[in-house]
Amino acid sequence: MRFSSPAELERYREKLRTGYDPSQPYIAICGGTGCLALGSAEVRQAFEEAISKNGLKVKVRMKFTGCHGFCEKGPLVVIHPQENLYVSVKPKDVLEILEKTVEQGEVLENLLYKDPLTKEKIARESEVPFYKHQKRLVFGMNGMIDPQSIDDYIRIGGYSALSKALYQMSPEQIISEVKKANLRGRGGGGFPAGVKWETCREAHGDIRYVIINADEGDPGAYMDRSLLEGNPHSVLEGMIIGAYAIAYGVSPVQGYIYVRHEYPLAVQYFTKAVETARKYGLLGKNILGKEGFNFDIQINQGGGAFVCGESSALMASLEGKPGEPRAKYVHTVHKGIYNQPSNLNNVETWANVPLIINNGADWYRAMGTEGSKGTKIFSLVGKINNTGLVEVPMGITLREIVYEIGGGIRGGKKFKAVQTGGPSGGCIPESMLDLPVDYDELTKVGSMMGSGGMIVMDEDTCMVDVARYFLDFLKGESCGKCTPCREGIKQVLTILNRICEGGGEEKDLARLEELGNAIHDCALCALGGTAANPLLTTLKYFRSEYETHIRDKKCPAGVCRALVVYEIDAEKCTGCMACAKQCPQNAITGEKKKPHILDQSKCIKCGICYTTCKFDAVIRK
Amino acid sequence: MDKKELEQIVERYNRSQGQIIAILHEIQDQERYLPENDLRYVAEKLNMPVAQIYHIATFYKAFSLKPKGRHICNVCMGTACHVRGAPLVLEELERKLGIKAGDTTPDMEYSITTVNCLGACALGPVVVVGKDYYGNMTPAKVERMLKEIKAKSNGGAKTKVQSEPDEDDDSTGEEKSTQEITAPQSEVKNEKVVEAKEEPEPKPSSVKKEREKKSSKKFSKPSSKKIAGAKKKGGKK
Repeated sequence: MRFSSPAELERYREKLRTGYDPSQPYIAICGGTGCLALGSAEVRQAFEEAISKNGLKVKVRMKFTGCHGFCEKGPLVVIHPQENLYVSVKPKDVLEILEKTVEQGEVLENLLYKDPLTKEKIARESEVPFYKHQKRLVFGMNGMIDPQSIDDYIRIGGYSALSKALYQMSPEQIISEVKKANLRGRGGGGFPAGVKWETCREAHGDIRYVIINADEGDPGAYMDRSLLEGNPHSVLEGMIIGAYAIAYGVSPVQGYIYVRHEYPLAVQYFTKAVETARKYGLLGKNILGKEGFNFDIQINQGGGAFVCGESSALMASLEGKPGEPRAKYVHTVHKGIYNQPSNLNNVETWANVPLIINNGADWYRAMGTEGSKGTKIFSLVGKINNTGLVEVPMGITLREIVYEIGGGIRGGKKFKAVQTGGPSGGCIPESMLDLPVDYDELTKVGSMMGSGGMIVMDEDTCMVDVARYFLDFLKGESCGKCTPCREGIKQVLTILNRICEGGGEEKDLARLEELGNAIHDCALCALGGTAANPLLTTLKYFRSEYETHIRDKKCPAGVCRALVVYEIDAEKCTGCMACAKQCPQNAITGEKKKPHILDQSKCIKCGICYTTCKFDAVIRK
Repeated sequence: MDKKELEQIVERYNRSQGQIIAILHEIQDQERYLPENDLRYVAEKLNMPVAQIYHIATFYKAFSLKPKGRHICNVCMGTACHVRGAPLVLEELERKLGIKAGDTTPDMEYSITTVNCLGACALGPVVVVGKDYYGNMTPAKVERMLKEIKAKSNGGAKTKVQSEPDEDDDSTGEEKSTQEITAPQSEVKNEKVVEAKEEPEPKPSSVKKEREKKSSKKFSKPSSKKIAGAKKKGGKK
């Protein structure tokens, strides 16, 4: 079936809607990567088996949906229409869910989410604090649709923005609407998408390329993957609209998606989305019957290089070359792939486009701050109670995200910092927790929005080690083309290693600052230019930790191994032998029920005894 | 790799130089590394200098010019995993296998690789072996993980044969393979012991216990589900 006009699409949507009874029970099982890893495929299988074996008194629909976001508590199961959220569901719970909740509408207390603060059990998904404070526009439909079904997407209103764009708006109108909405690049740079589109449309070229950047390389960020896994058609729809706005009536246009090789499920679902869209006439020739609008998309996988998230490197990689960036005196919107005008936007940016077209720029502008509009998805990870993906309006404070949505720090520990923007971002201290989340505000404090990783750190995290971690990461990922990045990072790392190993000198701090600023000013691409951010922000906000490492040769968080000593507290040791059995060096000796002894000369400070001991008898100094 | 197969791969991508990364991925998926002869062959077919292909094969982290072991232990070194102790897990794994990250044991059984982020941050620190996720890892859990991998590959000669064709299946491969795999009896027992002994929270109500007994008969437990048990343990710390 190919739609050759908007009317056909609408008729089909109507047909889908009449066949759909919203009051019918509907079981949504989260099939995102996090829940799959926690066993949601087995839960789904149990549901299928139980239903086919025992039958049910009521008719149900069951869907294996994309990511719901609350990865901490997976596998997640939501029973509609009453919207009961069940967390950490196991196959053994399935029978009871079917018998009690689905058939009789009874709520199963033991599977509900329990608020760790109030100890209250919460039955409805939307009332769980993790969801309550969010504004899920881009991400909201993930729990309602099967990502592999285009019909589901059409039923909830999918591709209506495309039909509006093609038949009620000119390319220029679309661009001005996106400009007015002030949609800024969600990959981290924050460049206004409408301006980029306009420049690309006006550039000289024989063909235009439109690209989805799904090379989500920032460690600790996985919102793009979840969008591709949860609602691939929304990304695709945004891109088709973009292609029309950028190239219709000017030149032919070709699409690409560059997606990480490490995301097999995202590749699989997006490929399926592209294939079905072709069948429905939403890709290919004369899309939705629009004469002369031909567009298709090719799927390319990356090779595990972080730098390929940078636009010119990504385009080099698409041409089958090593992903090395180039100096961008001439921007990629003028000369990108094969030297033709190329427009690259991040997954989340594309997914915002249908919303803007459907609801208008004014609606979109109503959310957010002066300079940053709409919502942003963050992956809230690290030492936080509620790990997961959260979508919040721009301008929300970090404190609200960490404490109200994230539920505070794990194990009642003390908050130390939140790291945003991945290896290009910085660490924000507690004193700045009331900072509104906004492109410009984050940049002002030395960090950046980045793609949306938000890694929470507690008192057990050593900030010198964090800086060292990022610099080590960047050393491995630097493509090596320009000297400031290649050599500068290496020298910074040498000094940081020295500090962590107890050989730090007073002068090192000044050296680090000088090197950091030099890298920032002189590197060729954005990766190098921001490489020093993790170093400079930790130096600025956590200087005393550096000083303790250098002067006292101590690591306050107990992370830097050379500065840590493990001892056994003879008073607390019960002589259970647990640590002695686990010690890889056999450094712990002793008899049962008698305090053990740790031989310092053998100890390699791996920390296994520390994590093994249940009686806090192993002390880290 | 067989010349015919290579030819098919190259043809599938229309001998396009732009698709070289995809072609190398396909070779590596089958061979677990990029053999020199295959690279020479591809270079000839795509009309590219071998040096250029070598540049690509060494530039991208996903490719290896050295043969990899049967079980590739992929340790996530993402930031979330790092702050939760991934380096200690990696070290313990290196110690236990006697090799460094990037290397392979002499018997070609195990390789250790690291990855920047798998996006499974809720499970961090996480190690992925094949399709199995081992979440909330600690150094102390490494040994058990290796035992499980071994048990799976020994006890499950059947498992392996059946789970492999699923790799490229279009619907979720995970679900299929678990449908077919029944965990060895010993593993199921093992898991029960773990759960019973280390249940940290107040004992579940007797109703729940009974349900557990009933349902464990009905649903075979695939071994990959261990994470669920492991997770519970980690959460307590």
